[in-house]
Amino acid sequence: MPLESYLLLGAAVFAIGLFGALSKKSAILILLSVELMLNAVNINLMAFSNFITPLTMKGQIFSIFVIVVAACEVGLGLAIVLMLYRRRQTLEVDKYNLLKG
Amino acid sequence: MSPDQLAFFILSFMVIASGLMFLVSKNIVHAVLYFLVALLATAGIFLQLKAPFLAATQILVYAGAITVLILFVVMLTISKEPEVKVFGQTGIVGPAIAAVSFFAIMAAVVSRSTFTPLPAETAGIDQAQTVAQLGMELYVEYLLPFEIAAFLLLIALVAAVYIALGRGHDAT
Repeated sequence: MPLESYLLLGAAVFAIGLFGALSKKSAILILLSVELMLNAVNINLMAFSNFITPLTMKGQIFSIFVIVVAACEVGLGLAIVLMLYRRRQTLEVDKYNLLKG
Repeated sequence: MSPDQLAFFILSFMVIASGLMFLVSKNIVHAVLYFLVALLATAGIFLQLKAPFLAATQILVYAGAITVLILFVVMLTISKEPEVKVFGQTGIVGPAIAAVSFFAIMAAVVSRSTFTPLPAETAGIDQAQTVAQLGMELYVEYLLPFEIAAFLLLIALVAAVYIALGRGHDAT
């Protein structure tokens, strides 16, 4: 398969994640949408690694670090979600409106 | 159509279809499971891109750790009323415009660019050697970033425990 098809797949997954992060109601699903976007970035990095630098695999190294950061993000994000749920008894982001003027 | 192309089409169809089902499913547990299917199909894409270690990592970290963690949080924060609306106050028009225009821009950029491999890197690569090679790269050339990433994981772990305990705060 040519490189372009992998890049298009990555763009499509990123667009799906972007739509979810902007439109979802549940805080957990917004977190998952961000994960989907990071995953699209990984697809792109791996495709470039395979087609542009197949010997040194720089893209694969980079995506390992992306996965590490994504794991950190999920851990912290879920801790924040739990704390928000304990304080407001809801996970709907529309109800977090204390700062609304 | 070669088997390679067929595998790519099946896998990318699985990724995109389960991503769309993730967007529209009303039940939050179903959405998490569709998310899991999308990640597993992405692991197949990684295998196609000659990255077996990353495919295994994807399955272990995402399917094994992150999805289970998220399902636990879903169970802990189960809400009294069933979720009837999928999308929030923002509606879907603005996000749809953002996502579609992003994809259009990316497709235009990709279709107008030409990609050539670096001259020094054109020799063929042996599938069986990639994991050993990746380990050498990671532990020799990228040792400092590796250690920093490990420390970042430790910090995130401690911070997550501290935040989730929530000492000294009342529910308001």
